[in-house]
Amino acid sequence: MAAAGGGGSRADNGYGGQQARRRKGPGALATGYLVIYNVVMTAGWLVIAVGLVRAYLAKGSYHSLYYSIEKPLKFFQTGALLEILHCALGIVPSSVVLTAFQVMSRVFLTWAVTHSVKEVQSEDSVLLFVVAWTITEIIRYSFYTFSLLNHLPYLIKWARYTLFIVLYPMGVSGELLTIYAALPYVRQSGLYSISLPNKYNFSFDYYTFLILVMISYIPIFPQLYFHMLHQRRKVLSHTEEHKKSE
Amino acid sequence: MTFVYGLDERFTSSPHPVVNLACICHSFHYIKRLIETVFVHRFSRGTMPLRNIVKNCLYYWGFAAWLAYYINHPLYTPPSYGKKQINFAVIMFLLCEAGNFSIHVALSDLWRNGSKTCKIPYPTKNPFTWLFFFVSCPNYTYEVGTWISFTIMTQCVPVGLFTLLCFIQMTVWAKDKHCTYLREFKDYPSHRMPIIPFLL
Repeated sequence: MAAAGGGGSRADNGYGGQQARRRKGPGALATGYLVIYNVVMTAGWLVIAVGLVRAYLAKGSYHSLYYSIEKPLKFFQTGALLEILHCALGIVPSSVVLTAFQVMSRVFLTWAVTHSVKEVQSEDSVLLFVVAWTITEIIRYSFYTFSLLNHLPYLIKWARYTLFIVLYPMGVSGELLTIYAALPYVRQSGLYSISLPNKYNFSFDYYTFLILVMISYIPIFPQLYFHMLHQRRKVLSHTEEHKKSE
Repeated sequence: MTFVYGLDERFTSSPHPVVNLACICHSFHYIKRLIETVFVHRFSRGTMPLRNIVKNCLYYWGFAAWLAYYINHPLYTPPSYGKKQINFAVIMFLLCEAGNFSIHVALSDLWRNGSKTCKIPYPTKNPFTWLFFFVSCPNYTYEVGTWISFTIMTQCVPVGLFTLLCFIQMTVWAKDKHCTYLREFKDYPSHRMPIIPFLL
């Protein structure tokens, strides 16, 4: 039973993902490239996971672990931008818009919030979303790797479609708490904000922007979460049927 | 407008004439559109889905409010090159509006005799329609020109953003129309581009 060849629609979203459809999969070269990409990303997030564990053991506490994995986190999370390109090129059958939205929100949190507002880097909420992202990404990228090689262990598929139930709210909580923690510092320093008057007649208040971002989680999170739950029912029950029919 | 700009600015009017000029031009553009919709355009289907109306109204009114906020702000900064820039922009604005109107009239005339079939639009005696030599949808070209001139007139980044969005949307429509023309007419002039002569 080739997991990648199973039926049903596979709509993509951030904590969801893409699968090769039978109707027009990537060519051999693209598949090879994608396998390498996904292996590298799996390895990268494993590095982050190991870094977190080692830092925790060395320090004895779980506070301020961000600093020990800052560089690989930035590198590999930013590398995910390539996934937008993959969709645009058609070698991955996912919606460009949806993927772009998901990746950009991660990159936004990594660079425009955590990196830019240094005072929040020691917050525990950062650890909350970093751990959620790390576990999710390790499972997700290994899922893609195995799918591309048509050899997907049921455990990975189960993990991918089950662990999100905890990890997704965990990540969202971490993200929201971090943005909330950043607010006073943004207000105080006027970070990324332009005020009138200026010769281009433009103004931007980053503080208000961040609040709007937080509010946007309210309509968006439930939709994605329930979509994933729906996907879970479809994918895992389909596998059950396959197993029964063998 | 105290609740928008704050108490200190009540009952003051702008020291910059360009602000009033912008208001006049903006209103002129949309009044012209309304008049054209009533008297000039011929619609193949006299209907529009309700959801479109909500979306369109939100878009136009929302953007207009955002642009008006900056242009009418007490701290508005007039264009860097002063009167020269404004005058140039006004002239460009009027030319583009005239062009846009000419194209709409020309297109409307194609359907005048109640003919149900599509015809290739050609340049007429009106110089503004000579853009048909180069472009399939000169009405969109002129519209983009109008908004560019409005951006120059107000020197305002949000206006520039609005112009960019208009340009993107109209390019999509123009390409679509262009493809339809190419499909329907075997003898369609091959050198014509959808919206920008020689380029796009």
